[in-house]
Amino acid sequence: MSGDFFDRLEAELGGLARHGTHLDGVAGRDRRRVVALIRRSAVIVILAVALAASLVGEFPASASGRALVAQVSVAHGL
Amino acid sequence: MMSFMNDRARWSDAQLLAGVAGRDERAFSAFYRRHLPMIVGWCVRRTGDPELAADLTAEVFAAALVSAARYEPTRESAAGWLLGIARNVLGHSVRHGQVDARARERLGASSVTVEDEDLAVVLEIAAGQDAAGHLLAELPVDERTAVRARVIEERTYGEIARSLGCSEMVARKRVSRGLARLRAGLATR
Repeated sequence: MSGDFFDRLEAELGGLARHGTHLDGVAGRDRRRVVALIRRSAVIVILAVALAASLVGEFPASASGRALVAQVSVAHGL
Repeated sequence: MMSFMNDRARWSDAQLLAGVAGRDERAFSAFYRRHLPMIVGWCVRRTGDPELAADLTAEVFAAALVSAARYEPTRESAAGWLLGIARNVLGHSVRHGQVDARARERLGASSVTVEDEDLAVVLEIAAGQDAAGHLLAELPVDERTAVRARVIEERTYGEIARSLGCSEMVARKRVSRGLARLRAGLATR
């Protein structure tokens, strides 16, 4: 490359602009953002399912509504 | 090829940056040439070191290239946007004790180095920028305000007229007279 520093810089950055190298960076960042969003969503869904499963394990009857039926039966029995 | 370059020289900064985002090499060159003196002058004033200023300038334009697609003309002028990038680059360099080169590394554009003979060019560009700044400061207030609003802030004549409380024709005359004085002053230096 000829010319002074600023001519060489213009030629190099201009060449990169022509090849779209700067856009690869933008596309890469956008892709990383989407992947991070998907990861966060997946973690939230997994946590929600785990929480629901633990609640059902802790209170199996209330989860199915049987506790209410049992209380009503006891009341009728009295 | 020259006609292409001349076309781009007439484009607004927003048009040029949109062109850069669309892989237009000539749009990048026109934008680079238009703003290089301002950035070199700013870097020399801030660092007092021509070699450091050249290195920072390279990073500023590499970062501008990377960010061109995200420039929003409705938010700020391109000159203000570019100076914001320069402030970030300088701030990062000061915090880390070395010249910021993240944008150049991302682009793989770190092969251009500053040679001893380039330092005179850096100082020459900065001196030219200083001369223009001094001449601008010497203009009558109404012309200086109008020229600054039109050339640096890229405001329309209508906007300038409203902010100065005059007609659009008067705003145009003030800009025109101010630019003529600047040209004459630069020619005599």
